Amino acid sequence: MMKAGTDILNTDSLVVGYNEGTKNEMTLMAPLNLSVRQGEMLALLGPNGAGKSTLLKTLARLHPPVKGNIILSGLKLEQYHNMELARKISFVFTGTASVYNMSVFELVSLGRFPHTNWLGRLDKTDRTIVNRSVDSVGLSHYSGKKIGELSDGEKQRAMIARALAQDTALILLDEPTAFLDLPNRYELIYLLRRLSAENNKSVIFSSHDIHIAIREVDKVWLADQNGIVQGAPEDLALRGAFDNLFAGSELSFDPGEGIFTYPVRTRMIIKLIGEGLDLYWTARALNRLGIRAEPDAVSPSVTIVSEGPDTRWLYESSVVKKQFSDIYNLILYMKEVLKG
Amino acid sequence: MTGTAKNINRAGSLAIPRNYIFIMLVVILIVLFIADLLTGPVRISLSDLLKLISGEGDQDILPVLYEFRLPRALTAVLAGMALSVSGLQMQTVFQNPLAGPYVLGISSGASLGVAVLVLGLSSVISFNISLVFNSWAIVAAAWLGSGLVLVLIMIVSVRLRDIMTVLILGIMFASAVSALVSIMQYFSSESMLKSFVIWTMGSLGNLSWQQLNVLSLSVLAGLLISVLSVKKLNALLLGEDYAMSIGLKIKSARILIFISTSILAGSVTAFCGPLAFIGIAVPHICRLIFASSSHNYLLPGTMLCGSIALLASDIISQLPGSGRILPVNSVTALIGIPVLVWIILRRNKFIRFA
Repeated sequence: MMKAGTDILNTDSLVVGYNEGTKNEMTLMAPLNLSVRQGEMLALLGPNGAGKSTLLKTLARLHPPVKGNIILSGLKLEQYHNMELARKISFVFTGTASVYNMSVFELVSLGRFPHTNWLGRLDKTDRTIVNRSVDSVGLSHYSGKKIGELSDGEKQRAMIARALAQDTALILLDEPTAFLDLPNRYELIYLLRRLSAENNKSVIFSSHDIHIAIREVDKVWLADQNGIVQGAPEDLALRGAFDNLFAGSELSFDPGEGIFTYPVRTRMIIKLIGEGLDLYWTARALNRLGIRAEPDAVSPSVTIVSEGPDTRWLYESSVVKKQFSDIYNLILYMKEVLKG
Repeated sequence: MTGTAKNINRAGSLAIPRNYIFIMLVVILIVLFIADLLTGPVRISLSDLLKLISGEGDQDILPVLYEFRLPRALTAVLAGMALSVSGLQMQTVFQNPLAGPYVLGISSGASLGVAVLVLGLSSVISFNISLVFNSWAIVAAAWLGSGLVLVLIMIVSVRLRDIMTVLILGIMFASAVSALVSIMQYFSSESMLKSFVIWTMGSLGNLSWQQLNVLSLSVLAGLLISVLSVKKLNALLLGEDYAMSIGLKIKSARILIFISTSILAGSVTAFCGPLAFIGIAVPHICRLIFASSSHNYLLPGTMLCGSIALLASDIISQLPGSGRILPVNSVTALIGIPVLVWIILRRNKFIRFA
């Protein structure tokens, strides 16, 4: 069991939704009892429309809850004054920054809003924190550059630096990897992980990048219309929780690979002989066509022959014998075979 | 800490340091202020003015300067400041580059007040037109009208979370009020109609010293609220969601800024009529000059540039040397429109309001 004392955030039968207290009241998930520990990196996963954004906004008091309580560092969320709360929780919204004509330094220094006086004047400590935040997302060379001149990945990092400058124990991010290309997605998640580890900050982010997320986070909140299942991603995989994630779609979770796959109807069973990566990638290519390799199959067969730098693929059935120099040509031929 | 110092330097570095820009603007303001004092039907040269200041020289021009030129130039400085700052605030609050001091319907409200007075009341009681003008009555009517619109906007903006809806409702209020004014115009006498139309053309030269004092105090109060709102305005640049997440109380910030805008734009409209364009164009020019959206620069910048723009408009409207005077509103529009067109054409490259 978890020690409640080290939880930074708890929810107590929290119901999120819209139009609370009116006849149009709409709730998104069953009552939630969630917890986040100090320094924990947490991913909120779930299909579109499950209510991920609404939940994150509710946790940051940017959206009113329908029912239930949120407890932040031992106090109910509604007991916090605006500025106090802004010193506890920072938020990075989805989408790219709307600002253009502002330097990275100016943008990030807005994160000092809840710490500065009525004029918003930055003192030496504020400047140090702003510069450190800019440095820690790797934008130190762009400090004076306009936000509009940055790439999408850099913009997102600048927004994260702004959240860091806010100096909160908890950072919430709504789909921070949307709009980014693959390397930037990985970089961003690694960055969040590093920041969480180095500064003992709790990070909660929602994402559709399930494959990246379940490798990198300490804990997953898996959301669907029924509610949220929480646990280490590995526990959830072992419990088969990911299978229910996209109920209603044919997508299924492959617990061996840790990925989601679309099922393919088996159209042929063959014997596949080979080893190592050659075997792995050949099997994948054949699977795509619905050709499954089984150890006790006899014929037809595909044999992978490696001789020095050359690799050849031999196809053998009761009637033909063919040889291919790469998987592409093997697949072209197999398509013909399947057509009959 | 050398890295830190370098970052700050980089963050603030520009082709021309901002301090120099401010000094340049102040110099231009002083030059135009003096030029405005020298412009008018009675010829006054710079040497006349200098002699007068040093205590010798022609005492005959003193009343001209004191009764007409100085109030007019001061009015231009105050009105330019007030309108430009209101425009800046509205552009930031509504996150819309085309917002101006009158998006809240303040000028329509003021027009309604004046129309009720000039067109409505005066057709019932027979009024002396010259008595209506130059009087506190017209100021009070304009103030009441814009105050009424402000109250409506406040009621709406306290209830609505979405600022875009507030903007659309503001525009609709303004149209409705303008429609009322049109109906009144339709049924009014020719002479009354003319005096109303002249009011809508704007004038900087109708203020007595007493009225100037009231205008100064109002503008000062409005600007004080603006200065106190700089931090809030900067937060709003990120959009309302972010502003909320860093601890800003959106609705109270909105109301504070609306009050400031109404005091500024409402008072200027009351005393000078609805002056167009200055409020929309000047903040954009300042963003270009300062290459920043930060209100730390833009607020003092728009104050200076607004005064400069209205002083320049006033000088041009006097048509130096011709002895004729153009309505100041036509001049600000004729200067303002090319500037706006230029901004729209170059917008993708240079102007983002945030």
